[in-house]
Amino acid sequence: MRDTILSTRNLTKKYGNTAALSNVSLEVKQGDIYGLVGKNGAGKTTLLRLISGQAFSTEGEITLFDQSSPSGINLGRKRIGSIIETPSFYANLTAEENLEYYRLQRGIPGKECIQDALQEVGLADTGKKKYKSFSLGMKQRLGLALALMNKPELLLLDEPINGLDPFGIVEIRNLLIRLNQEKNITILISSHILSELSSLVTNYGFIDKSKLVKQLSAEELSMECGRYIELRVEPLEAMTALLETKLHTTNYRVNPDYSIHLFDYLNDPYKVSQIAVTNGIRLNSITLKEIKLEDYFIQLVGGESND
Amino acid sequence: MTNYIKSELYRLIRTKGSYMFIGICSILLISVNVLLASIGHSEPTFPYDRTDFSISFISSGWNVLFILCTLVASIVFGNEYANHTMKNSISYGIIRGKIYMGKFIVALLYALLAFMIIMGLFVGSAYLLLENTGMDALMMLLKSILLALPMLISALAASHCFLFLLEGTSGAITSIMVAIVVFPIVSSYLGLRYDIFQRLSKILPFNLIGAINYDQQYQLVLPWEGSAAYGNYWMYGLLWTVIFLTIGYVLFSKKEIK
Repeated sequence: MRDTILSTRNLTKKYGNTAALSNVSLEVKQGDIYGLVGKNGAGKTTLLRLISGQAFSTEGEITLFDQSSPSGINLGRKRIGSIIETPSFYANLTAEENLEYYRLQRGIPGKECIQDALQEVGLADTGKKKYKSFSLGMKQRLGLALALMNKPELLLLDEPINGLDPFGIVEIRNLLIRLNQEKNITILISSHILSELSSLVTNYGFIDKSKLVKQLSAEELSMECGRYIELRVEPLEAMTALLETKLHTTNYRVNPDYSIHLFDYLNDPYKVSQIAVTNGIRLNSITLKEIKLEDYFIQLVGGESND
Repeated sequence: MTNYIKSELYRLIRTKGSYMFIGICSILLISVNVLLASIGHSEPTFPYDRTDFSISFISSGWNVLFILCTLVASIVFGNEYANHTMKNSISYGIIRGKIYMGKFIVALLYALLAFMIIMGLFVGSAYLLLENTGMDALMMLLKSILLALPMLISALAASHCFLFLLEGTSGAITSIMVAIVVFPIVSSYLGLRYDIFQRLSKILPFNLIGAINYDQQYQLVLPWEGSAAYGNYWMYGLLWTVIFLTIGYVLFSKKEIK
């Protein structure tokens, strides 16, 4: 059983009468890459700011590394690396100087952690270039380097691939997967683009209008999305029995509208129809369909434009 | 807190503004002595190319230094809110009290260092360039420094407090000026009519530092006689320092960081 590294219970943040976050309860276990998905302004950053101590909750509780007292949570934050909103550094210092400033502040022994972190994110050769001359992508990488410098057990990353070019996105994605798999670093990552996270995360939390509307694993999401065969047949029970006995699959779902979504035999729908017909099933329709990740997301959160 | 102070000193050493402040202040003050000396050279009857005149000129100008404390605090604060850099410290679990007091200690250290360098260069250039009229004025300067110091510390604390509480530097500096300069002046005028303002204005740092005067024999003329003056200056200076630091800390500990 994996340990829970971070959990929130009924976490609420209000500004006046407006709720920026309402009763959010989530659980991130060790080794997870938890993707927090929501439109801009949905409450993702607010949640991360509450966890990182930048803002204070109105109600609810945060438990971090089994600690839920303010001092315990603060101690736990030393085991976290984070980029909340945009990465921010001193404009007139170089990448190395900025990291040295935070290394001294955090009391991290030995300067080699700076080069290691810069190497890890591909910024080892920026030399005397000041932060103010960095591109957005370089700034993101430096933010990630700072987050990694203290060898964290948990990474909080708020839209970390914003501003990166396609190569940069792939590099950072691979880096995060490597950190997760090789160093067992748990990651809580937010994005407003579901497809950005799809090849990365193990668990999803969908947040909309300040509420956590759905949590599911990557496997569950792939069941909900992707390609499938939609069958409309009579009788329904006979067809499901055929799927299991003749086609040897349980990878299907019966929907409230009496349709069957079959996630196997996607390249051979003819075989499915043949089995149905030869066994006396009335086949009203058989259609190959696809739900894209973004469509799923839009369906889930209502499909209004980003604010 | 030591780690935080170390990091702030590291950054301050790499900040151009910290050198520019000391450099510009030193050049301005040294140029006063250069000007006096050059006029003295070209005009033999010129009566002011003397160390006592130059040094006493500074002893009566503490109000300017009082205002400059805002600049010192602002250099050390390092535009944390505009750069959004404070969130990096907070999200690592560095306690707000350490950030607040750590920065104040660094501001105090930098202010003392800057003060010693600027004053040392000014006094040194005076004795180097001008007619040496003895040590009376210098002794008076040293005594007035002892009186001005707690007031300058309180000005630094007030500036520190507002810089931590307000997001924009220009807004913070305006508020500081209102609190530590305009309010004491207004209080003095209101004191002509209302007793409470009269009493309050007498213990406000800007008014106290402005009350450091001297006579023709270079003896200090103060609101209190003898050693009570030193005691009262330090007592009120530290009192205002504690008040500003406490208000700043309490409000900063509740402030959300972006």
